[in-house]
Amino acid sequence: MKAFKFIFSLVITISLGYALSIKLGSAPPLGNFLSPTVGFWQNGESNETEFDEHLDLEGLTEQVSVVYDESMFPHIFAQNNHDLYFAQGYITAKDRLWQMEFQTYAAAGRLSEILGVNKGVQDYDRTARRKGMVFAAENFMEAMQSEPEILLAVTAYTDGVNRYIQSLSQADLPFEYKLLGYKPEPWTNLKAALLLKYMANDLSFGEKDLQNTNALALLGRETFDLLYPDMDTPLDPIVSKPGEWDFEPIRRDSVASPLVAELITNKLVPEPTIYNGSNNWAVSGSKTKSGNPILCSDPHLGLNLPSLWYTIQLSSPDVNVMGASLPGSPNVIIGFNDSIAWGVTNAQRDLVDWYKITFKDDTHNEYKLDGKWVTTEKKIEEIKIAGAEPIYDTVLYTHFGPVMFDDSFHPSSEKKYYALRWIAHDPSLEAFAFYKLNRAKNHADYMAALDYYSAPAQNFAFASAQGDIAMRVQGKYPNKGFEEGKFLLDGSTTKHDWTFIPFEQNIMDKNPERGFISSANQYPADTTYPYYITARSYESYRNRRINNRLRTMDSSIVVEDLMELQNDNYNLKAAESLPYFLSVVDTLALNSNEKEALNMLKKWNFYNSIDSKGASYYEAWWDTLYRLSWDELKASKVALGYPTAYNTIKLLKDNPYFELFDLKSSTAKENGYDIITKSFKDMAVVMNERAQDSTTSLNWQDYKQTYIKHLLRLKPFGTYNIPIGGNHNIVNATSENHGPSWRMIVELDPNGVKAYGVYPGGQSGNPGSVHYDDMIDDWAAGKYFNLYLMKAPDSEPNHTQVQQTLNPLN
Amino acid sequence: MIRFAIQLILVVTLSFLAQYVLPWWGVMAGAALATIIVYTKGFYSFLAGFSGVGGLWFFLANSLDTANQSLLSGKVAALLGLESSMQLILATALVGALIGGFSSLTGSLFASMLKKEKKSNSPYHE
Repeated sequence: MKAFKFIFSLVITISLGYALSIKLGSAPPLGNFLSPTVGFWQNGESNETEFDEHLDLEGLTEQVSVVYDESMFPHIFAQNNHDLYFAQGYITAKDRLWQMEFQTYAAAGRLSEILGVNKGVQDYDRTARRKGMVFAAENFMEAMQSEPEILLAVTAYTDGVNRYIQSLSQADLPFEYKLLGYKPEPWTNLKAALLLKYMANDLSFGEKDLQNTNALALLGRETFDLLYPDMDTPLDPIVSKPGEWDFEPIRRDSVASPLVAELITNKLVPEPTIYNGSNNWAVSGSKTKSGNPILCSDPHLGLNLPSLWYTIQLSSPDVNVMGASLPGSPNVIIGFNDSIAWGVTNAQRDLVDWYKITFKDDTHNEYKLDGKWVTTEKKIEEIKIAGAEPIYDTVLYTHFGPVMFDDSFHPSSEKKYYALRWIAHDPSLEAFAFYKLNRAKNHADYMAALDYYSAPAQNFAFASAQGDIAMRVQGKYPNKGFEEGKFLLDGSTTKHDWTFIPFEQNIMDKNPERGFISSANQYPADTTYPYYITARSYESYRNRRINNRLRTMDSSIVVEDLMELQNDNYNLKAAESLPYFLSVVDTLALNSNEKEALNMLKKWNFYNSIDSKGASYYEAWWDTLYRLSWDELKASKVALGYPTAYNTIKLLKDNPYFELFDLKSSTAKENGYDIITKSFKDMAVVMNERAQDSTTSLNWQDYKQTYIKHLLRLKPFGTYNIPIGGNHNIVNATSENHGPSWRMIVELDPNGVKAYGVYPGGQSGNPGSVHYDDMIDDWAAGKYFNLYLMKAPDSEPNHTQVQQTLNPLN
Repeated sequence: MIRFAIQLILVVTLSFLAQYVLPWWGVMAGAALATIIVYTKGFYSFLAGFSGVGGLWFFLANSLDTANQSLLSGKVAALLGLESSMQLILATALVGALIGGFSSLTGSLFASMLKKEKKSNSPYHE
């Protein structure tokens, strides 16, 4: 009896222990998670941040000092480059380990391994595999072997991250590991490469070749050209020097008829948002009060917590640089040293092409190329799934690249196959370009550094303490014949293989007469630039607003003026379109709601500030109008692209009887005037309903509801209804969940640079730390933090919170 | 009563120490070992484990949470559908109490099984 009782109790106890050790549904293993000694309670940091003043780290060769300033930005002082990057890896991992590792899982298509069975996640993983993300990272790794300096930096960084990972007990694990019930794996150089390719995906995978192919087939050439011109006019390009492109371009006129008439019925894979863009500019000393050049940079990306960026200073006898770094990858990506500053925006260019592949038979073992059958390379991808058996996906590699769509992935009923050619697959050394930029002393060094930069294409703004300003639209650009690669290409021939524009023939400028350089994702050059250029889309408002402002500012610019410009909420799109829209609406036949809307819009000053009601009315109207304008594109059974905002407004004004303005859902025949009026009335109804809702207001802040979510989309771990103005197409490009992910301003004073920066997040990736999101309010308010480029660990005692010494342990 | 008190103290001490050398389930081993060393009848052992580990987890979670000003627990509570940090502390304590209680009960029954031939005058004995 006693034995029975004992066994009964033992079984209950063990079952209880077991149940608490495993994942039940989406809940974490509760024992590990709730235990106060090892569980999440350990991740709650006390407000008095505790630091070990001395740490012994195996792997360092000499002593390293880390100074945390008043904003918790670390300043690392090492005595050699190895130790510098080792410490960068260690310190970054300490704040951001989970995020950086999670992003490498995302890049490599391994999210199912963490998140378990989920169809959407599986599709995401397979897409990443079929895109060849790991293939791209491996090519990067191979290229890196040829440059020992960057190989040393990346390897030291990896060792530093691993030193941190090895120091972790269950109790020390970052919160998310406990929540999801897994552990960090060893860091590798490949992971650093994957992170760079993760960025490359965000910045260079945007294209619409397949959508274009469909649009041409469905709508015909005339309509196609109206909807999707290669550039918006008027042009205010990044570099304008008509007639001064003094080089002999490499012609590709011999390429005949690139068009493959085809309707692509496959479900396409998701693309990065068109709002991934940025602003940067630099004004020369001739325009500033101090006579020093000032450089500004704010990259616009999806807003998440933990933030994409991590502020850091890196100092060794060889380098002293500060700025925004990408957790998981060494160096500073956007920053400055005492001689130069640089900032980047995305260079809009078609860097993706699709080739139609003809396989010999259903085995897909051979495909046609230049009249011969060529062997396909098959790569079997194993996708592990937490709590389930792995799945296997065979990816077919051709001469051009991996086949994205086939019988097992987003198939079409006609058995068609499309292979992907993408710039990110090419061997590249962007990490080395940043390594050299971090050390650049002048314009020549900047140019030499960028000669190593191939992808993702970026507009590099530059300013130096010597007084130079410059812009280089840098990347490895395929040299295209007219419209070559704008549509699906014929994959049975090598005649559309990519060749490249020589770097020295890329678009660039130095010390232009106007006294400033700038870029904001617009069309890159004046029309005399001798190469064919196309992209998914260009932006045509931020660039003109920035340039108008910079042209207007005379020789008295101070840093505060440019802070104001980075936070500028002027809605040029509204200023150019609203008067026309209002002129179309018949104001004599309005009901009371519509009269209210009209009044609000007439009173509005075109600024999307947080308390503006006019901005809410305009944006509501614009969204409705845009939707009505392109209803048939959205309703199409095959994927189609959308015209830009600029081109939509241009068509509404210049071509109101354009056939696509007719509403698909109605039997009547509408034109541009009709849909402007209809969208106005629809908007007035919606806004009136909103006005009755006592839980919110019509202020732009409440209407827009900017939020920043945790990478895992856990609602309580995000920040909501952030008081910030702006929107798409506005210099302060903050929309609902997208915007300036880092703002930096640097004055290149030869007697000591003055620099300011902020980003929407915090240095710590730990949701249990006050530094998880403590910069968001300042970011929203347009405030900046000082970025102290310290000469030595003790050079800013008044701005130092903690100094930590990392000692070698042998 | 004194025996119960001693047992309770031993549950708290052993489970507290065990979780630093063993994984999270160390508390269970500690709570079981305590009732093997100092024996009471099943019900009292369960009570010692329940209140000992439950109280320990309440105390530890609560003090960590106070130092953190409930910053993290507020978010986790919301994630788990709880209304407050205190509910999460109590939930933690309840989990601790349950595993503590059953572990101690098992320990006690194990000891009782071994001791079945012995006689005892203790009021807490069978």
